[in-house]
Amino acid sequence: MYGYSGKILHVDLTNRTVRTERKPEDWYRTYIGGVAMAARLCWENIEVGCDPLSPGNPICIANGLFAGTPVPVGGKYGIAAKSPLTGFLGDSMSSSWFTVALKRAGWDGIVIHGASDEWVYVFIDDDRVEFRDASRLLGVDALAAGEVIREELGDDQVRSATIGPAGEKMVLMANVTNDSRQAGRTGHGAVWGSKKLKAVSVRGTHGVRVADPDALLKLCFDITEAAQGPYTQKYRILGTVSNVLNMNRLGLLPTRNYQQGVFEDAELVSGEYLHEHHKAKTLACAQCPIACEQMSRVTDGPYAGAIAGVEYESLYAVAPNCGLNDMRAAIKVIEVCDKGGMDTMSTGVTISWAMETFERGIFTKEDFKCAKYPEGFEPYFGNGEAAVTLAEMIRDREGIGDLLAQGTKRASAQVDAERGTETYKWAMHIKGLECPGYDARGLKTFALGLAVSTRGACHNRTAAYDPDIQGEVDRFSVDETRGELAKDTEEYAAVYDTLPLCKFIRRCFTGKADRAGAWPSIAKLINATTGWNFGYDDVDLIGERAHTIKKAFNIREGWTRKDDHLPYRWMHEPMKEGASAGHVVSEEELEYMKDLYYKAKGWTKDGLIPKEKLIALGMEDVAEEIGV
Amino acid sequence: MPTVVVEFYGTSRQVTGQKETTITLEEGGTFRDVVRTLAARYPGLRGNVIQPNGEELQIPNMFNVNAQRVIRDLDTQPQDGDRILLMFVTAGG
Repeated sequence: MYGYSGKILHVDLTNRTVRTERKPEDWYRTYIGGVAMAARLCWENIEVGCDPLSPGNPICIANGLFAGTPVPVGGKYGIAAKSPLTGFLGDSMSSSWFTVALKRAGWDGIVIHGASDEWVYVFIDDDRVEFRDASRLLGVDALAAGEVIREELGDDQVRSATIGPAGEKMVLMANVTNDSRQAGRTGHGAVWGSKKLKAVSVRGTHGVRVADPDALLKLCFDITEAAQGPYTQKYRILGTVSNVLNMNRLGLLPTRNYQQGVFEDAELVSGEYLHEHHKAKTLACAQCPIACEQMSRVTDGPYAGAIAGVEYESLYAVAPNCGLNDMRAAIKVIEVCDKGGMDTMSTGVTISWAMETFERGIFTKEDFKCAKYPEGFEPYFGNGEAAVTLAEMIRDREGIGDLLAQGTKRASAQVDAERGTETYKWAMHIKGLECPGYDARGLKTFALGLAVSTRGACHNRTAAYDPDIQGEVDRFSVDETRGELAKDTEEYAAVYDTLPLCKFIRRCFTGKADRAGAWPSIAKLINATTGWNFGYDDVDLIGERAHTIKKAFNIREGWTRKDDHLPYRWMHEPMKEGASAGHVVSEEELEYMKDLYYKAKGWTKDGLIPKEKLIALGMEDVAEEIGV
Repeated sequence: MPTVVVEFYGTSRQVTGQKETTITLEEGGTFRDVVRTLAARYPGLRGNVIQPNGEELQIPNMFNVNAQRVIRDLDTQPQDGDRILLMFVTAGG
């Protein structure tokens, strides 16, 4: 095989053993890599029904097909496990050198089973695997741990994926970090922490064989050239944070825990402001010609010295959504999250839930006692120091941080059970995963995409905001097209997440981001790498299969139609001001759109998958287990 | 004669150094005339935001009128008083 080694590494932390599994070429043709391959490995290796923080939940890592090749933005990998936040499949992605090293070490993926008695890190040195003592790494932050390991091994080419202090304490929104990038969502860091696994480190010394190097290089040069032009200008110049003012103007910027879609101080937390006042440098992942990460620094005030890569999805969560108009505090919160190894989105939205709960008088100052503030503090919206302190408390599970470390779904359920309150009404999550930076009350197709997402409230797995924001449909209303649109956009996204390729490249093939504009070029990349003969339809199938294996996993774990929901607030509280004022997603609208979506997918009215559908996708064994 | 305001975001704001500009159109003027006026008034927009011919927006930039609807056809006419958002919106991060 070209492009693959054909080998999956199985690591058993309980018994400290390893074995190699060889997969047939058809398996690779079906699951390709990234999120789909990681999900499939999870399907094959999990103890069905297990506690996500138990040894039966495997960590599944799958390289991208293009990792280690010259393909632009192809240096990505997928990771999957049962999510401790959602109880369903937690799939995530990260980029850069770790996956390149893993590919060069000769592994297409890793499955890590069991749990260790003592803290370990796994060192993969090409085909040799070591279990190494990680006790001296405990407490080392997620950005520094890889460097400590490099020093210990005396090799600056070793690349590591690690957890930070939050993962060690099994904070449910903890993430996995490599090369300063994060597999951010769904709580993988907690799963690693439950296994006492601090890091996976890799030294890879082999090349990656591709079928047609000359053709591949030509394709790569063309894409790289296009990536320097207008199609990526937003990412290169301001980065994703340029969305702040756009979303604010459209009335979609989550503000004060999604109570509003307009933030009066949006200019002060905008990408433009960040660029002018805080920009330190721009970074790129391995294999990336775009370079979108805006490293931003605080130079004065109490948080002077704080530095973090600031993305829109981090910024909305910790700034407008917490009522913060102080960019310095926002950067500090993001730095606490990045070093602690926590998802900025879930952390920010959980803090905003705590702030609203405080402002409504359910939490009091007494609830916020900690070592830093023994008398407690008042986390009202806009209190930057409170946001910083709460992020630290979540990371350390200190005081109320132990409650908040569970995320909004569990925290609100616990508070409501203990105090007889209804804080669930402002707990902004779907399936337990906190909401992204777009208020779905003003984006009806997106609302459906989020509700039915296998991952929970994730903007990356459904691209259904595209038809809303780009004006293909009226974003404020519902019609019979929305089921097909939600299907098409999630499967479109799944193609990119499975190869994986960063979606920021999507206009650089022909100038058009749609299937017709991108799939033929992607097929050429696949064929030049593997020697296969993929065409448009084969590329399209990648997305449908990827989404189907994730859905099948969830069904086997007990998913039912009622799990495809939206937060109470989005369904009962119309937006109050701005361009989306007056809008809400009604129960009737959501259920109507879910019917349309299940029909478009070829599923039953209950959202289950017919056997014949699975067999047609080449998933006979899946059909046997969950097909109807 | 209809008068519209164009609001700048992201790259267009950086290039123009302004948050907005006012354009007065001839009777029957279209959104394409708005593009032409912008290209003439701010030559730096050509390339990244407006196509080099000065007639079309560069994908994926777009006009959104009053934050309510996206203009799919530049040959339609704005209304007097419209606020036209010139933005490049693609989610991510």
